[in-house]
Amino acid sequence: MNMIMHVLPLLVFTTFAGLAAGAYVVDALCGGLRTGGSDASPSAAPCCAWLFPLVCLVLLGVGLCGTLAHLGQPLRFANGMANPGSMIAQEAYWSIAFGVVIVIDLAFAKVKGAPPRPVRWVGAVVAVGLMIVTGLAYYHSLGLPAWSGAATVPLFVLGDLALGAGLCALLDRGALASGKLACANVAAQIAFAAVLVAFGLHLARIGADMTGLLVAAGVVGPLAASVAAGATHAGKLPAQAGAVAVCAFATVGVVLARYAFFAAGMM
Amino acid sequence: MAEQKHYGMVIDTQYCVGCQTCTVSCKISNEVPGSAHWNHLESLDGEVLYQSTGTFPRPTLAFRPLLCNHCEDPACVNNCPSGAMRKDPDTGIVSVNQDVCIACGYCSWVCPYGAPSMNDVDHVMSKCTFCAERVAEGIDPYCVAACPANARVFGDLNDPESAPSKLMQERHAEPYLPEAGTRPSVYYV
Repeated sequence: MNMIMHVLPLLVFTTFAGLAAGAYVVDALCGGLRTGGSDASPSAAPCCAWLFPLVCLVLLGVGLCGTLAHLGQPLRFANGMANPGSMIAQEAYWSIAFGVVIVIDLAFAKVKGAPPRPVRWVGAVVAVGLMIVTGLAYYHSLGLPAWSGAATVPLFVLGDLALGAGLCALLDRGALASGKLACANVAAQIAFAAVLVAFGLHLARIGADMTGLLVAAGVVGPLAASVAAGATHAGKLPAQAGAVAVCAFATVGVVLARYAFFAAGMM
Repeated sequence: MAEQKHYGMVIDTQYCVGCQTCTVSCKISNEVPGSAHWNHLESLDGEVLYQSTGTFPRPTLAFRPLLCNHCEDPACVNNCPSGAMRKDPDTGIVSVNQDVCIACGYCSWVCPYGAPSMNDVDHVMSKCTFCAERVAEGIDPYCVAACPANARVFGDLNDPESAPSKLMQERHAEPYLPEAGTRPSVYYV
C-alpha cells in the first residue's frame, strides 16, 4: 500500500499528461481528427471541435495536480522552476507551454469552429518535448539503475503515443472504424510492446524482475488494444464499444507498465 | 583572501568493523529527524550486511560506509529544480536550503549514492553537511570523531600535506562509482 501511495502521484501525472500529449501527436500525424479532416464525420466536426482540446486540457490539469501530491511542500511548487538545468523544471516549462497551446487551440475551436492546423502541429511538437523531458527526468536518475537504462525514454514516449491513440479513438469513433486511426493504434501498440521487451531485458540485466507486470501490460495493452482496434476496423465490433475498449485497454496497459517501472526503481 | 578548500574524506574499509557507531553518532549528534539518515553501511562484497562471503579458507566480511560524497560535479545540485541544493565554493561542501526545498525527492534519485534523505517529519530533504559548523571551527565531523577504528580520515584534499591527501597517495584510495561522473570527494581504501 505504501508503494502504491508513493507511486500514485507519478502515475497520475505521467498517465493523464501522457494521454493529452500523445493525443496531440497522434491527431497531428493522422491529419486532423474532429476538425473536419478526411476521416472525420462531416456532421460531427463543427459541433465538437472544442471537445478534443477541452478533454486534453482537463487531462493535463489533472496530471499537474497529481504532481503536487508528490511534493512534500506543495505550496512551494513555484520554486520547482528555478533551475532550468533540472529535468523536473523542464517538465514544468514544457507542461505550461503545452497548456498554453491547448488553451489557444480551444479558443480557436470555440470561436471559429475549428482551429488552424498549425496550432495542432505546434501542440504536437510541444507534446513530444514534454514526453521526452519526462523520460529524461527518470533516465537521469543515476541512483536508480532500473530507471537509468536506454529503454526509459522510449518507454514514456511510446507509452504516451499508445495512450494518445487510444484517446483519439475514444474521441472520434468514426475515425477508428474507417481505418487510419485503427492503424495508428496498432502501430503504437506494436512499438510499445517492443519497448516493454527492451525494458524487461534491462531489468533482467541489473538483477530486477517485473516480468509478471510487464507481461500483463503487454497482454492488456498491445495485444488486447490491437485486437479491439482491428475488430472495430473490420466491423466485428461496434464503433462505440470498440473505441471505449481500445482506449481502456491502452490506458490499463500503459498504467501497468509504468507501475512496474516506478516499482522497479523504488524497490 | 583565504585559500579555497576542498574538504573530503578517506575511509579505510580494512579498518571498518561495521559497528555502525558512525551512523548512530551522526543521527544523534546532528539530530537527524524521523527516519532520515545521513550515514549508512553496506556490505563491501555481498548482499547481506552482516554475513560473510567467499569460501573457506578465505571468507570475507567487509563494509562500505556511505555518506554524501560532496561531489565536485554534484548531480543533486545540477538537477535540483528549486536550486535548494548548493555547493559552497569555499569549502566544497554540498548542502540543502530547507527553506526553498520543495521535497520532490529528485536529488535522491539522481545521486549515485542515494545520499540525500527525506526528513519525513518536516517534509523537506536533508543530507550530510560534513558537519560544516564543526569543520569551520577546525573540529572533525561527528562520524570521524566517533569511529572507534579510526577508519575515517577527514581534511582538505587541496592540501597535499593533509592526512586524507597523504593517505590517498600512500594507499591508492579510489572513489566509489567513479563512472557516474560526479567526481566524489570521498575515497575508499
